[in-house]
Amino acid sequence: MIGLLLLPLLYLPAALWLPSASLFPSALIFGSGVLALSLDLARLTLQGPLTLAGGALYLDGFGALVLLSVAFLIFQSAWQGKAYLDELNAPPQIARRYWILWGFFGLSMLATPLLANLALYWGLIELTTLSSALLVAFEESPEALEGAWKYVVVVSVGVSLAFLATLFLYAARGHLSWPLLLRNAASLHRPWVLLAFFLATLGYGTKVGLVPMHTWLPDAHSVAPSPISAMLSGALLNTALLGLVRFWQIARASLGAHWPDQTLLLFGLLSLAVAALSLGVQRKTKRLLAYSSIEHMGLITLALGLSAPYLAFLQMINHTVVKSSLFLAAGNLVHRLGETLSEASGVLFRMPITGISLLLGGWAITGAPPLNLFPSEFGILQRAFYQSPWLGALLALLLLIVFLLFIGRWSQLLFPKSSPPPREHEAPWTSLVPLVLGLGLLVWLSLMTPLPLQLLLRGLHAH
Amino acid sequence: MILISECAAACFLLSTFWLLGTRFFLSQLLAYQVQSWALALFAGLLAAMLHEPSLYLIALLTVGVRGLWIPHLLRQAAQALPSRREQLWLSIPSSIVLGAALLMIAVYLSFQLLGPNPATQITGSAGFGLVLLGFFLTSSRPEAFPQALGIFTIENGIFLLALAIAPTFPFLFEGVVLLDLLVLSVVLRLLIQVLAERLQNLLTHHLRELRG
Repeated sequence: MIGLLLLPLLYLPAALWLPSASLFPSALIFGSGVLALSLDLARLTLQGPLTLAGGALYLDGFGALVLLSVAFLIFQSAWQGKAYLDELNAPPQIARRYWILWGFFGLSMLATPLLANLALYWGLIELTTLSSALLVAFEESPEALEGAWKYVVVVSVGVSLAFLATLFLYAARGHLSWPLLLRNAASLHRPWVLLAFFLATLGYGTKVGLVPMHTWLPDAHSVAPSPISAMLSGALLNTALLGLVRFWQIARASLGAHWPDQTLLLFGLLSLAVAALSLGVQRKTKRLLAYSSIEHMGLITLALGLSAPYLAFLQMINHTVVKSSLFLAAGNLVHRLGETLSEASGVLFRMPITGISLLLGGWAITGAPPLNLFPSEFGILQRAFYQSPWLGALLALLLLIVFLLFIGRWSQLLFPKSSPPPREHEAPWTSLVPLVLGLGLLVWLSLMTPLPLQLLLRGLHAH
Repeated sequence: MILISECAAACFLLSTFWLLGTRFFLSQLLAYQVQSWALALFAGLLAAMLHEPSLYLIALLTVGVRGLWIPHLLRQAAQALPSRREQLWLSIPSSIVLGAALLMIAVYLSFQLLGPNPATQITGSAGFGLVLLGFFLTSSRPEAFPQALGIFTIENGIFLLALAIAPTFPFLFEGVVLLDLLVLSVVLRLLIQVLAERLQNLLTHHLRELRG
């Protein structure tokens, strides 16, 4: 764990002092090191939660999944960062600023699943907002500034509610370590636990992108540089989800399942419905993907509300793999062909490698068979029918709307309106490597759920 | 203790209504600064009454970060702005009336949630009041500068609530918040400066490119 936190601390001074030409290789080394260490830590959590520094550092199975998603995104975005800066023709000092902010953002996300203290976790979540806001505003266009400003204001205000939640939980027991709070949940002052849970749902729900606190998400995710959009969608949302899940676990242990589950069910369903209906009116590729992220976060929250953490976390991992690749692929075409779906129309013929990844990822992200999101979405649907046929029918209808609207918009992007357009230059190889890796993982997860992942998820389910 | 809580609550709320009732950036900043100094003074008095050394340190840090550092950064930002006063969506009298209504809700919340101790209830009322008025300021003002002050007012309200609910809360709590405030103030200062340079104003309702 210490090694994992030391690695970014070594990278950041290196990014400050190394010559410009060494920035990309050092980012790659940092990304690879972080991924290797995270895989090792995840393997160790199969035997049980890891604790260090007198319990200050704590990693359980769910934390390990979040850590893996963050590490994977750091690794993927390191590759595409170079291509992004090359296309921007960024001068060396601007490129250095990008790599420093990227490293800082990565460090703040990496530390979140490792901390047992809820106040420190809150501080890191705020830090992820602030470091990523400067990356969202990186291009300094009016749209980028608008997205960054909304992001900081809405999320800071929202997350301040989560701090109030932490305060109430502290007042309910007198300490801030969530494993201790979970262990002693039965003796907590119940009205304050209930209040803390509602405030945390609003607060961390803002950062997760739950409706109606979601307004910042489509803006920030669509205007950020594409490698950062991928990190925001594939990793940052998971780190905020971690806070929501911790409060949900404590609230369930203290108050029973009814109120916590019903609250998450409501927010999940609302998010899914609003995102589903918004998909049909989107004209920009990355904005469409951002609304799809809200839909997925809604579905994950809904699965938690259905007392199905196994399915929720499986959905989270699958979302990370597919959405990050889609954002990276979208980054390949935004600068070459244009931001809107119609400008980039026919991408399957114009940029075949990027096009194939968009085809495969687009099909997967709707939860259609036989790809990796199908088992988790189908499982959530089954669970909803089991709970109530009406709920199941409503969920089935919403998922059908998502499928039809997303595929309708996506086919505009993939296929040309008339005759096949001429071929364009494909993205550079540094952009294609993370895409191919992401797609390889997508196919692998479609064929099987690897045993270590199953064991992690089963351990969480039992817990 | 009750008298101190009453005086402090009056000071916090008057400064917040001052913030709500003016459209001049520097006057808004001064109101925020008064609020922050009052907060530090209250923490210092509480430290003396409870004999809590960590609260003295928190009071000092509150002066440094909330009372000096943040106003310094925001004053720099305000001086770079093309205008000295803000445009409003909602008139000042309407803002004051709505603010008073929110204060009623804050008092109700405090009396319902924070137990029978009158000093806790009064401090809690002011804390909830600052949080709600901060939300109101952030959402009702069209310009970036008062929106930023709204966020800082919410943070002051949360600190006050922490003092009301758990006066001997660990130093870590306030340490994390102060660190967050330091970074938040730098990021907001940078964004305000770039917004002013690129858009020639700070009207966030001019930011309408991203819709749907």
